[in-house]
Amino acid sequence: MTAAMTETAKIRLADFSFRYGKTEVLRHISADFPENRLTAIIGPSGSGKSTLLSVCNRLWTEMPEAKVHGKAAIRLAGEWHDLCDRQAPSQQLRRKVGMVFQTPNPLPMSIFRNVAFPLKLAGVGDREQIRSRVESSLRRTLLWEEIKERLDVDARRLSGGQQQRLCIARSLVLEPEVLLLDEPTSALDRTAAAGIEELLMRLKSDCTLVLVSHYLEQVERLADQIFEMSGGILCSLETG
Amino acid sequence: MNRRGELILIAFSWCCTLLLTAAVGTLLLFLLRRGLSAFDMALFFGDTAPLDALLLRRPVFDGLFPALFGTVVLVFLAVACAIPVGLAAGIYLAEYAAPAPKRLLNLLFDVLAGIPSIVIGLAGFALAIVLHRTFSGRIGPCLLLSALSLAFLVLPYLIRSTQNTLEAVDPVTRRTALALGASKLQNILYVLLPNRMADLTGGIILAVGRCAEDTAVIMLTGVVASAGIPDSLLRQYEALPFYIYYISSQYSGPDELERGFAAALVLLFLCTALFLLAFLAQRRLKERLFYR
Repeated sequence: MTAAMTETAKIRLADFSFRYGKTEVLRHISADFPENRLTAIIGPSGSGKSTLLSVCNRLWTEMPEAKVHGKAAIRLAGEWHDLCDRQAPSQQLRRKVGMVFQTPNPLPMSIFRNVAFPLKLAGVGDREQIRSRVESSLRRTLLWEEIKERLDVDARRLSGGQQQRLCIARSLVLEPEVLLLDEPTSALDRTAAAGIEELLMRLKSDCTLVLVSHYLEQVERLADQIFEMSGGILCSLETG
Repeated sequence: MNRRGELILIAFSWCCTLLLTAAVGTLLLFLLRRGLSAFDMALFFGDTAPLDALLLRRPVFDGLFPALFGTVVLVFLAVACAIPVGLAAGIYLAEYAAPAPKRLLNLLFDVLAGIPSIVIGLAGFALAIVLHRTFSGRIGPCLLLSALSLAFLVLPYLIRSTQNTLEAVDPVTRRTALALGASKLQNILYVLLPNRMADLTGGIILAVGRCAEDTAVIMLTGVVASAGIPDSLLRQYEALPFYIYYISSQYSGPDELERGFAAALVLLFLCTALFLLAFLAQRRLKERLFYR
């Protein structure tokens, strides 16, 4: 990476292209996503927004038919990591780059174990530490007061909005530097969506957020920077 | 499809289900009617005291106990050998194998699944002869050899059911743990397998049933009509399916035939108990993995 790279960029794409089999999903994308800001990407379904997110935590390497060209890098703890390297170990990287999916995806286990799951994966064994980190993560997503009495209930019994906040809490428990959100409110009703939006505004102060969304209206309320994706091409929109 | 065609199809489906249920019911009733009257302690233990027989203090000469014992040990041994290999091979095929070796192995395991059990019995028998020669008569057809042959027989089912089960996991669940920083192995062990425990148990139950009922394999690899309780895995043994086969082909009177029917009932109950055990173990294991 060159020294000319601005220090505020968290994720940088330069002439980046992505192919899946024979389909070109992303074409020659160049963009910077700044640190501790909410960057939003809007655009129609199938335009490649989710694919772009899966580049940012190297989840694309799980797809055997995917191929990338150009440059894509992320800066974690002050150090740049190449996102195009299929062979590089991705576990550490994904612990610092959380991801929230469109449909809430709690695992079929208790609420507590869902949030503690990434800690288990990372090999944290100290029960006291696990307990306090789960609690603070649930507090951060404003879920603690609602569910502190029933932490050992199956997480799939929560409401949709609660499930999505649980999934955000689960991503936050490892204290990621970046959080990727793939249409996190599209499966929720209006009130639950408003709850998630409020949460995102609070998270922005110490976490870089990349939000994919269908709704320009939502994005205008939240984002510091907006891109529009269309047919695999990314272009910047002015923010008001 | 028009409304009438749909109705006909529904009626046909109902009839088929009914026919099958009726067939199973008739079979059960027939067995119960013919075999139930022979059900008593003497059926299992002959004239040996039940407690002495259960504690293996005195041998049973004229009862089903040794055959029951033999079948239970056989099933547990065979399944215990087959499960680790079957699961591991299934996981390899579903998660790790590159396309080319995967195609080849799929074909090979299909061939393996198609081998008639008598042929696997013959292979076991051939192995027994080799062992007999190598160890100057100390190892021949025996319980261990039967169990290994049976394990080989059910291996393709286990591999295929594990593979299909893992490949059926939806992409969202598959990526959940990966996005949270799980390694491939962690994803398999903590998410994919536990999520699919019920399907995996289905495969194992099929394997258990197959091990319990197969006669061709054990006939050639170590079962005999009268051996008592074997004192080691390298001895010959008795088993329920072989007892049933033996009685049905050379019973000497109505009493003995009745005992044959009773033995069939015992085998049926044993299988039910084993299925139940597998099911409960699955539930228990899932709870321990997920909710503690």
